[in-house]
Amino acid sequence: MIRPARVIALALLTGLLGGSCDRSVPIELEDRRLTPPEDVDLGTDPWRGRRRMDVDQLRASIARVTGGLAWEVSGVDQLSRFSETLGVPDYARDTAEDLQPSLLFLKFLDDAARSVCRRLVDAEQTAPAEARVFFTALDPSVQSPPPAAVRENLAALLLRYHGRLLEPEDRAIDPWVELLESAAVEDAAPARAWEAVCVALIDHPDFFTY
Amino acid sequence: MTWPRAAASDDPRLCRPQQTRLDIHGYVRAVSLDVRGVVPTVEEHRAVDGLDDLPDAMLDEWLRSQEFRERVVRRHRDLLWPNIEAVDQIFHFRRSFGQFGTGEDRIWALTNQQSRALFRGGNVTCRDEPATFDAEGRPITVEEADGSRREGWVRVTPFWAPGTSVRVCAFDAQAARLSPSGIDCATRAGINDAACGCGPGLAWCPPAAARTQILRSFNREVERRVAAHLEADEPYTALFTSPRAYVNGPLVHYWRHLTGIFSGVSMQPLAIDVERLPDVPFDQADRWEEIRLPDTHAGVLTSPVFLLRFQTNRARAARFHEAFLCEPFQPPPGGIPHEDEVAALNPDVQQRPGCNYCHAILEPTAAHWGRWTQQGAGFLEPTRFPTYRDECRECALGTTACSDLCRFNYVTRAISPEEEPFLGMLSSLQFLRREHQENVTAGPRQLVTRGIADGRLTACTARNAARWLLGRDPREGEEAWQAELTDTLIDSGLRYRELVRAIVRSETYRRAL
Repeated sequence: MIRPARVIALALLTGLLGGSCDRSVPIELEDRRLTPPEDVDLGTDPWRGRRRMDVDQLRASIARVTGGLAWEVSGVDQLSRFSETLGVPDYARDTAEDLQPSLLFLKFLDDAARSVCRRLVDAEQTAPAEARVFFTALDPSVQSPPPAAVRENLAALLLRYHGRLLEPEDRAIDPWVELLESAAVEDAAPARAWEAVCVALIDHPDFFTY
Repeated sequence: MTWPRAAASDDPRLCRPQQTRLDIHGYVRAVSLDVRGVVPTVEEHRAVDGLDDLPDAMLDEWLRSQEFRERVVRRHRDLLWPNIEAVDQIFHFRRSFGQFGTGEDRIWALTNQQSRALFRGGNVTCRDEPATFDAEGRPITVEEADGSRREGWVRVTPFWAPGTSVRVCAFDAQAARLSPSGIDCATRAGINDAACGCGPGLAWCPPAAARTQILRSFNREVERRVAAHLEADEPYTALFTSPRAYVNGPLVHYWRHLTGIFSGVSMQPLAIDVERLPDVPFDQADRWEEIRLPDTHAGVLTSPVFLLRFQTNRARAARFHEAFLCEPFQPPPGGIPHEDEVAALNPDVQQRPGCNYCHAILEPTAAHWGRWTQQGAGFLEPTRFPTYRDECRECALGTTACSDLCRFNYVTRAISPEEEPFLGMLSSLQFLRREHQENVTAGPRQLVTRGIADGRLTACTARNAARWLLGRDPREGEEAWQAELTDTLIDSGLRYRELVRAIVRSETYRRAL
């Protein structure tokens, strides 16, 4: 079987565009050409279909990676509220679960990510180190943390959110550093850039598929 | 702002490498999500770093967790379709209770206009004043301009909110079990007797919210059975044979007080011993007590939610065939033939051309539910409901009026000569061939026994589990692996947990594309 290699940059781009702005910021669009993907030989052995998380997995996993946060509005769990739209059957009118990573799913996922990430990053600005699950390798109150600490924190986040174990100096962390720097707009607090990273981590296919 | 142009996000070499076999972290993440429904902790990732496989102890712990039981329950929703919230006639609509007036302490009364007219001679509720009573305890009424006679209200502690009191129209609040004419007010007959009210604590008049609570409790009840079956580490077949069931507050109330006032859907004749139910107040929906069912039951296949979700015996048989034998009833390629117009009129669908393609199997299978009521979940006990009743044949021939017992459970109409021999017989026996008649007596349990004996149920269980965990149907060339999984299930004493273990331990599972 031949399937194109996945391109992480596209997801990062999506996350950044969707995840960080409180107000309108004019963007000069550039024509960006990604390197054409290389085909990968996947062999012919039997395989498991890579799947999107269902709503229950998503709720539990968001809570786990954020230290217990949920996408709630006025105490109402929004993943439950929109569960039918997110593909959960009611077994009366529909009986098969839709696990397609549809545009609608991605929209709600992004809403969930923005909700929990804003609260997570803000709450950890003043939380003691032992209580933090997002800023585990740096102090969020430090305005310009050392680059090594930033990379170490990003590596910890990739393990927590994507189950990807990387050394801080691994070049695979570069796109995340780039995202962080890109999101750090001049007049916004550094927390907002980290919030963009958090949103991108949840919006990323490595989080919501397995 | 200008989007910064840097090399990193453009470089596909920095993407996560496409893996034809998941590394340990991706594998552990997948297993955790499937088995527990959540990503692993950072500590769990660190614990497996450097290993090639998930440690047995870790997988064991996950497979014995509450989270695993919840995942299996979730998976079984896809098989049992446990939603009966559309069943809106679980008790008689003339016993529906609601509020009228304004303010916080509004007055409760029956919402049905016939019931209101029965009490007051018009579609009106009571006066907004305390009720008074005559020497015999009957509400004193005041004649209104429209000719109706209205009473006042009384205070009652309702079953749905112990410790509180609400205002209730005095006629509706009547609590006597027997009316002066001897009618049992807890039954359908009491609905048309003006001396029958809602009973002690308004037990026979549930508000709309109570109906929802009862139906949802039935949905949850069957899920508790699946979870308990896993917790007890029983063979998979126990799901269909175990006498274990559960009740909570709403269900205890329903079984005790509302099954007698059934409407379109009936639990009569009751299939459980109501006298032995534990005392659980209605407002304790989260307090579940285990009960033991009579031997006539067949686990989830005769649970109220299964019987009410699939209200005909054919629907019950079709669901069982599709979900547990992996044999859906489908028309032949090219559709159903119906060239022979005479044969097409045959009322026996086991023989009618085209129909027989499914019904030759479906009818004998449906007969296994032949002693369970359709449009309901009652059990037709053989001594009270023999296979033939003279009185039901006689009423069918027009010599007497047919009783409810005959009309609901026996063949009392023949619209073709072929149906006449069945008059007076239990409905489920109609057109059933002699060799299939024992299915009615054997019940759904026998389907399970046969499915184990011929291997269809075990093979289907393995196939369903693989479909769940692989996210796809089995493919050509995987027959040997499917057979291996079936053997694993059998060798483990039909433990579902071991089947899941075998699948997530397989190389097929680890190759996630």
